[in-house]
Amino acid sequence: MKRMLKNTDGTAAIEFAASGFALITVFVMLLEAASMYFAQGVLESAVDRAARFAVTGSAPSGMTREERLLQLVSSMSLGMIDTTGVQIQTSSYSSYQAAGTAGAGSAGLGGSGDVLKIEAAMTWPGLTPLMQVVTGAIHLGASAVVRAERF
Amino acid sequence: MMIPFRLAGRLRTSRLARSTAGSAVVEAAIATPLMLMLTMGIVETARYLYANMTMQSVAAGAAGELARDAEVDVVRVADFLLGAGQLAAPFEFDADGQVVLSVVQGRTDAPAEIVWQARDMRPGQATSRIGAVGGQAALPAGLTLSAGETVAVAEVFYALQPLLGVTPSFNGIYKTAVLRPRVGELSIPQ
Repeated sequence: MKRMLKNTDGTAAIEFAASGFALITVFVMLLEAASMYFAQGVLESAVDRAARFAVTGSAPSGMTREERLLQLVSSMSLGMIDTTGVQIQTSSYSSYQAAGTAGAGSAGLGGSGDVLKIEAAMTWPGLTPLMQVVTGAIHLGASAVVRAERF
Repeated sequence: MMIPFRLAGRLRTSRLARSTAGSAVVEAAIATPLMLMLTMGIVETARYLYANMTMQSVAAGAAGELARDAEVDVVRVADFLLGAGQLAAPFEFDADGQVVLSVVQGRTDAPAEIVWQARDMRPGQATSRIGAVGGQAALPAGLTLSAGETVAVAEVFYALQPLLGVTPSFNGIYKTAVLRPRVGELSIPQ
């Protein structure tokens, strides 16, 4: 019994068993945080690009603007974002000031010279079930506000 | 835990000096504030970088708005300045940000001059770093304008507030965007 207590063989394995779980949890959460910010970045770039083509007044061929935006989100996120969970809202306003006022806009992309707001929202489920346990589902959102060209 | 050498000498025979019970707690007490500060520093730095990117896009949007028409549309520009905070979401631009828009024109045998300027009415009185109306324009290095040539310049000032108020503030984000006018040269309404 005494010999067994003095024996230090295998201490590394035991210590790793104790601390490894915490260490791996930290790594997974780092990955989770990074991928969440990536998803947020994708949403922001996608609405910016969508705003870019919305101001020209041109419609993408064979699809609606919303479908085009979802397509952008999907391709820019390398497939990490399931676009069925992405909600898109477009509204138009007479001025930038009006765009900052709730309920002042009308749905759709408006006409020449209007101020457009494109909003995308989604629930980010996380990469692993750990995210669900730690933070629950996270709501991400991005918006772009821009004045349409005179077309 | 290490006992200082002299203290260890005095206490050599005491049980207290030899005891290592509770050393993990003492070590944690020392390490935890350091770890927290490090974590906060990482978060603040990430936020600072994000704010930099956001303000750059506000500057691009502002310059784009000014460069759009052949004649500066003062009504539209004023409206843009009032609503510019929306471009800076999720940052609180209305309280901590400011936009200054300028039109700069090249002169014959003289440095380029600021011919028009507008700022928003947000609190804080950031001073344009390119100059004042009628004065010589401090344009980005390498940008020279020929006589009569105009550019739209947007300057964005943003004072990023620290999250918990305890970390040093990276104050004074400053971003500019310089655009050539979309249609010919920008003219100033009389």
